[in-house]
Amino acid sequence: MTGKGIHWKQDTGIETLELYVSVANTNFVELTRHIDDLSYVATSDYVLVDDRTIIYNRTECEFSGIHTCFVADLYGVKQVGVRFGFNDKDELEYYMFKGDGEVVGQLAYLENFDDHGLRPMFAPALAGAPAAGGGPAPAAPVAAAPQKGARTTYRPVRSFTHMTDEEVHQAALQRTSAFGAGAAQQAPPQAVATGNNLPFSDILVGKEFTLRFDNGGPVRDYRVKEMFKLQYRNHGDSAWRDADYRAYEGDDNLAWFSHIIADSKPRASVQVAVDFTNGLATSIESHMGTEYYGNETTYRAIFGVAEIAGLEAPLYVRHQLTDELVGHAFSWSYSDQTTSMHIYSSPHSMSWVIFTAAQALGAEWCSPCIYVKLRPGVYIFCQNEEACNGNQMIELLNTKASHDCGFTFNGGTRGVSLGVTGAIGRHIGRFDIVELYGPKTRSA
Amino acid sequence: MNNRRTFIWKFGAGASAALAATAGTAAGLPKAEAVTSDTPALRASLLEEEKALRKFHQAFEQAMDKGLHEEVIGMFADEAAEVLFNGGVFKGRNHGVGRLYRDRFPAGKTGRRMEQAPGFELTADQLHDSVEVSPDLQSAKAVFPYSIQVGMPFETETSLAAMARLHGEGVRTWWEGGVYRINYRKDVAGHWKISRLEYDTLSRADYRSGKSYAQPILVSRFATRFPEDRDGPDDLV
Repeated sequence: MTGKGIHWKQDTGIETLELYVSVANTNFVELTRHIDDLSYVATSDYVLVDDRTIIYNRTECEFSGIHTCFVADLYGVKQVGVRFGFNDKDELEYYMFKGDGEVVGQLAYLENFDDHGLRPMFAPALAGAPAAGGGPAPAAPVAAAPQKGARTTYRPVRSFTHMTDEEVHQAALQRTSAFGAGAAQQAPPQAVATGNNLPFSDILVGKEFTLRFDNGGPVRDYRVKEMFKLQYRNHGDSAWRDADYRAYEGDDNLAWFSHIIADSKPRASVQVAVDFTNGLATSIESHMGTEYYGNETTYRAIFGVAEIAGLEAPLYVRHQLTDELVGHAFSWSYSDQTTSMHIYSSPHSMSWVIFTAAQALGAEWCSPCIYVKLRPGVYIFCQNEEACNGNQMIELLNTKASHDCGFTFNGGTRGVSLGVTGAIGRHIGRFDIVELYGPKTRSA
Repeated sequence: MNNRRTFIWKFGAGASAALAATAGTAAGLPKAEAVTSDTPALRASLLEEEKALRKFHQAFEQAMDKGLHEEVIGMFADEAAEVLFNGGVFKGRNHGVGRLYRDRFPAGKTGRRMEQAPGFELTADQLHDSVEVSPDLQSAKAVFPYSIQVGMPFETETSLAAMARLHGEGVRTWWEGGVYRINYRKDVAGHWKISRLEYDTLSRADYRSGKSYAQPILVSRFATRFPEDRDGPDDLV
């Protein structure tokens, strides 16, 4: 089943999109129960009875704990099962169902051909994880003997510490770090490893320009004399602010850079794409804090133009949000030893999956996200690992080069940090699901 | 010949095998017996002890390979035992040595045998092993080559690392080759124990089994002692 996606329609009227992209999880979208077309992840079992019959169950253990279990006939793409548990409205659901499905795609099977899925994934390690920052490391993360019935599941909220906005800001006053304290070409320490990142670019050096964003958005002047330091100011201000920055050339003459907004409260940063071939500009305006956690980030995309000598920017055309990536899956290798597969599972959300040692797709989680189209084949992808660790990843995806490059933004007890990240991509496949999304009429 | 046989005998692997075949039943000497290095009985006993030490080292490597770290710790002498690894000294079987093999090595998936990284192989001289047993048969020194996987857990709070740990991964691994420089002594029960073990790393590379190439790698030596580093060494060298 690994890699398969099925759109199920039950006789109850319920429709779900289920992407079986992990040997131990499901990435699913409640197409009728929920209104936001967000994908979620829950722990799952897959039991192959024979070549056409599978027993499946899913327990939404990080949410209400509701359980969905069915037997599916893959020849007829039919299911019969049971739903049992409390839903997101704390209502009891307990019923049998039948359903018809449509296979919406199949990702590449990445395990060895002689791997028949007979080895289960390790149960969660009982020992703790190593501490960050080179501090004392807890005991080894050795997989302990699983308890009966135990499943491997990633439950990030349990390990996420709540901080208020003010606590995060006090930490930011102690330490706000951009790009590992100015190290030239080196990745900052918060990245697992960024050995596969694109090189930094001097594309901005020598340029002066103004970024004017629509709908009364910010207007910022920039002048850049060095590769890692720039000056900016709000248009109309007399004083320039200095900032460390990093820039990539994400595609021909397409600058992609980021810096901290000085003295901001809450701490803010921008990730900016400027197309010097047509004058279009997009800024991801990021800051610390959501309505739930001070140590999560909030972002929004704003669109506008670059005003620069010799370039006439368009009046109406803009970069825009897009669903062109929806359904696609890419593995992203940040280094030889750190790879994650991203499933762009809906126009507003994605999930990521970590490979096991046998190259099976294992632990998985999900988050809301946005996609911006910059050029054909070139996109901004932005997500915040909300209800998880609050980290934000803002990448420029160049699907022509199968490479991404970008930035990380996060904050916590050790301050606020803006870093770099990037990876080599492999296209793993595509689900034909775009048509399932969009505004719908709803009965109640 | 005699001037080489003053205090400690040296046996190469090839010579020991040949002599061991003729050693017969010699299994130690009465302490009262006046012996010289030319005494056939002593020679036989030295060979027997050398053979025992090679077997002991084989057991050590097998235990490391299988991750039987408690067995490994049990092979060390006592609280005077120490291990030198990557610029750190881990002291005491139940303290530093235990910390190294019970915590740091499993966390880093360190110690498992693996093939040498292509292009970084040890030379024939470096692969040469030797065992030296003292005439009183109570202590010995040995050099054995090793080719092992070494690793370090990702030091990060990212979700990727947290998820990888669920798989028993989240460890950056590489290859190291070198020689064990080992001191042995017998405990009160007459069993060989390791009193000092040094990982003398001669070559290391960014390489994992199955890869077709290897690249040089820089690995930082220990810079923080225990208890600041909870798995760290007792001393730095």
